[in-house]
Amino acid sequence: MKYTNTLLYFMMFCLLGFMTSCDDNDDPEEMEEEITRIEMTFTPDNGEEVVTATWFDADGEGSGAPTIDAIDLEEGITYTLDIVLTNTLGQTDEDITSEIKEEDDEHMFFFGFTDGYFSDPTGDGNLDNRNDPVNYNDQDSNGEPLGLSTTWTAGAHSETLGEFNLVLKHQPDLKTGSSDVTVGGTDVDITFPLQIEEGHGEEEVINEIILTFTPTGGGDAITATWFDSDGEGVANPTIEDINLASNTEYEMSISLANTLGMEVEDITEEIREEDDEHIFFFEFTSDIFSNPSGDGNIDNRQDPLVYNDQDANGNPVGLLTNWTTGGASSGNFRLVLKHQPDLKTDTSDATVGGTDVDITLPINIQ
Amino acid sequence: MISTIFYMPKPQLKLLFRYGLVLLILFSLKDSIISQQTVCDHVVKGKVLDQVSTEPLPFATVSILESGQGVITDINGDFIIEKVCLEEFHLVIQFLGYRTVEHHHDFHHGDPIIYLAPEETLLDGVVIEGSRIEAFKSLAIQKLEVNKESLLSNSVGDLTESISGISILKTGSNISKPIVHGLHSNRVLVMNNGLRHAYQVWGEGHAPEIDPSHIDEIKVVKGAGTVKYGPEALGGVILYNSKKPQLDQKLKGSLGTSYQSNGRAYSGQVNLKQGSHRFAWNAGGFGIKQADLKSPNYNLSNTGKREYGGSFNTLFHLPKIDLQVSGSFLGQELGILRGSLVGNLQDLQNAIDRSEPNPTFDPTYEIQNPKHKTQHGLLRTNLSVYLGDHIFKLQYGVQRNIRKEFDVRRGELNERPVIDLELTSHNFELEWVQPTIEKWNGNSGFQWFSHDSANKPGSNPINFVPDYNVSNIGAYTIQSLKLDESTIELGVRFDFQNLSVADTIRDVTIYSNKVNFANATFTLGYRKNLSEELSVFANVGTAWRPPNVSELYSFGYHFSRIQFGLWRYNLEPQISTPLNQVFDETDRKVPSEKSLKLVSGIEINNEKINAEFIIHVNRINDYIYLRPFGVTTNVAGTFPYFIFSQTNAFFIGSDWDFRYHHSETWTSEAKISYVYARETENNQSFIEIPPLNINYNLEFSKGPWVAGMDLNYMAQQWNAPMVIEPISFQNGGVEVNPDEIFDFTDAPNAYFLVGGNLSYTYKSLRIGLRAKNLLNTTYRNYTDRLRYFSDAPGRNFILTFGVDF
Repeated sequence: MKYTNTLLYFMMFCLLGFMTSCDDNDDPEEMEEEITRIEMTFTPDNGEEVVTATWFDADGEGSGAPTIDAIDLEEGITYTLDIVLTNTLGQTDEDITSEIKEEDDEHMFFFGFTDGYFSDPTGDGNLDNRNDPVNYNDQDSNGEPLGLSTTWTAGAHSETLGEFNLVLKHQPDLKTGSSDVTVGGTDVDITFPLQIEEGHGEEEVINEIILTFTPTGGGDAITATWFDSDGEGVANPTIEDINLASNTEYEMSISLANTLGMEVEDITEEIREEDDEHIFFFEFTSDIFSNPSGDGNIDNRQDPLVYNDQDANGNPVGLLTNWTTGGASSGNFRLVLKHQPDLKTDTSDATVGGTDVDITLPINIQ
Repeated sequence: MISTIFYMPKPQLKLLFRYGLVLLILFSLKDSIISQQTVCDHVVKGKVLDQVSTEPLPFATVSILESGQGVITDINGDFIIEKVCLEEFHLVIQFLGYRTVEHHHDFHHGDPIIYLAPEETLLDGVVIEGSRIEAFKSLAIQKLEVNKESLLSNSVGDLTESISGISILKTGSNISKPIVHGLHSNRVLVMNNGLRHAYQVWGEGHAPEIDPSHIDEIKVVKGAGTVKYGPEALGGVILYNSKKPQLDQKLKGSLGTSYQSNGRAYSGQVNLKQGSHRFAWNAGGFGIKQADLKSPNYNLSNTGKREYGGSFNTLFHLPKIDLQVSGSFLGQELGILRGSLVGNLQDLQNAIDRSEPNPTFDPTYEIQNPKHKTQHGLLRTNLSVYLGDHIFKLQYGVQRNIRKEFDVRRGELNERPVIDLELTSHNFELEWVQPTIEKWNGNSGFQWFSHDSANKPGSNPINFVPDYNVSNIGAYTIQSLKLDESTIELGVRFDFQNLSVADTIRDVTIYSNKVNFANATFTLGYRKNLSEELSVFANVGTAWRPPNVSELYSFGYHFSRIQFGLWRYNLEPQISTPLNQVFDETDRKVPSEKSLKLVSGIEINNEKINAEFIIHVNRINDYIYLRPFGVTTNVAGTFPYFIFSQTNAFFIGSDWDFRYHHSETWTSEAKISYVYARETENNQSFIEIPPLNINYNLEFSKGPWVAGMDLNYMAQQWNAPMVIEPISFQNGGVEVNPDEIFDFTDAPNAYFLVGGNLSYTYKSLRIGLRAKNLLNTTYRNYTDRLRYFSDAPGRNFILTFGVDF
């Protein structure tokens, strides 16, 4: 049904064009308003990656077909859609978006989409009926919706491709609270393929931790991996030894990942983004390092440890630390990641907050 | 007792359903047409009382408006009008110095008890009708009348606790669900106004979301109620009922409000009712807002709550037909103690060892994560048709339950619930109450219900439970024979249930399954009145329930435990829990839980004493429980893990309820309940079985004043499993012996609580003051899942104010 609607509008558009002799050059106003590129930016509210889709017609009214990206959204996620319109035909790109903004009381975007592809708005958009739900975020000076910014919540995943139809109407002196898509001239009427992906969400399981020791004086980095093939399952992890050279200074970086899903998920980045809520503590066999000395700061937060990174409040994080080995010996190296939302201070110790990671690796210094 | 997993193709099921229905209707109609005739042999009996003193009113005039027939009440306030031709009419009750009451009556309803209000008060008379359809007499049913204002300061769960034999399973102060004789969740059936309350019942931290503003009485069926109410009633059935709208009644209403010192909670409630000759309605709404609570020594951070709800009830009355349409809505946002969040066993040990929960903030009305947000909506229509002496009842109800559980997570994930479920359910019920023939009566019915639960996308890639559909059809009959002073009752029921699940694990594994369960249950009861004051009863019956989705499919970490559902682990050649594999009944058979419960008791009712003593014994086969199995290491440390497993269980206990009227003004009530539970295959104790509980209440009532004192002693659970401290897992070296149930701490110490209440009524105004934990005792409750983390709330004064208009 959506398809026939689109067809209908397309025909109307042509007919309208035909009546005005299909020549926009007759109308001086239209000249500047040629739009050749439309960029759709879907920003998810969960901080994940932005989704973009571009409709681009390199030769404007020339015979060349436009290139059209598919809109690829994830089920259940709420996005803010911002539309940027540009004329790329001139010497320099001309920003049409700001022109529309200036004339917001004469313009309005209408949207049509395959029924049910969004859980909010429900239905199939407001092309067929102006009063059907669409979540406009912006208004013109009269309080009527504009549509450069809208909000969308993707519905359930579907195997079949849907459609997303965008129509920009120019309604000088015609735009009212009830003027629908049949009123005024059509500046834009384009359709994107619409794909709703299965939600992969984010999981908080961490099942792979890689410690990378890079000698500060140069040389090959040494890694040790802690890996649990089944996450919360009952199988035990495989744990590599940390093999370091004696009397050498290393910078250690920690990377954490979830490899259980289809795609490997990097948890390190998440911790960095929330570094004011996370902190690593360490414990090791006494005096195997010359710096830091002692046995680490799990038992006492004030014990020496060389943190190389800080959060916004100037408190250590521990994704980067420095270690200078002592003479040849072996022992254990334990690291604990605490989650301390609203709790992390310069004194919050390893008993505060929940434990995200608590692992121990054998260490050998040769 | 038949119990097996078998398969029946869907079309056959539908056919069975249709034929059954048609046959039932045909059979019933044939019978009713024959018996339909008008004769002037109706009798109306009743009693007239003073509303304030509840003393009988002799010499009151009772007359039938339409026919002019009239009588005068005797010395006990009783009256009887014989040879009435009309099926329905108006009774007019008059007495000098009292307001006249006009009451619409028909013979399908029970004998009226009329309370006349003295003219000098602002009260209106009240009529209470008994029900012609008597419930099972042998089941040990206990009833609690609910005072409107008490709801303002209590959750529905907490109120239920005042019935002997009932305890509550808490998750902190805001979430409470009833435990009946040691059983809860899927083993206790909750009926909300005749509808099976549809919620995510499998979760121990999920309380039934029932709007308290419409609750008028709470009944507990302690015996085997499965025959009448359907699967899951292993422990018992709890019925929350609201008041039926009354015909011929002026517009009336009540307002109530309350303030609680602990948690600075304030609430409001409004109720309205009106009735004309053919139509009556009532409606109500309420709201409560509570800040963080306080234990005697510290704040309980993030224990605020918000609740709001509303309900309506309408009644259309035609001769021979009653149509009721009702609905209710409840929204909740419940904070959970912030200090109860732990990552690994070291954290849990730290939390146990701490003198106060960490973190503890200044009290606030704000609710942060972790929290639960739920919504429950219900719409119900109920049609009763009176054909001769037959009654047909048709009920349809639809319910929608939305549950979002938020945890403290990384970054933006905090905005996303970890559990996000939507449940839609439908109930359809047809009941036939057969006419009483000589000493024999009974009722029969057909019930169908379906639950459709879906995980909303975007919460978490691994759903804690899969999407599931349950549909159940059942048919039952209950027959009762009355012989002089004895009543014998027999009931039989057949159920067929289909469970279908589907889910995707980590975008990798898609699984689905359909399982069928079928069961027959019975109940047999006997009651004998030994004298006017003394009766004895005994009831034996079976009940069953299928395994729930959490028991079958849960995987991984949940509430300080790593647990694996029955179809998520493999024991051969050694235990393994494949990440992306799900088993089914061909790998492991999971029969339904089946119980055999015996309840027997003595009831004494005379001028001085109202008492009931019961003994209950419950044997459950294939009892599903979390069995400790081993120790595993993952990224957050070393953990014991548990697998859902089946065993046999045995429960025995006793409830004593003794009420003594010392004088007109003084009344005492003592309640004792105890239950002893045992896992019988390895002979060990279960966790979270309520300990011995003794309650004493003394009430003084004179004129407008009522005062009372509550004493409550909760013993330590001496029948608790062994203890393994969490730290010993973290340090290594502790082996978990499969089969040895353990807890992380000792059962909390015994405690003694004192409470009191005082209320004053002036005309239509009521003012009440109530104190809970008056001595500000520090204690922890063994059936509170947050007992590891914090003390229970301290002293609380509750001021309530109510007015009728």
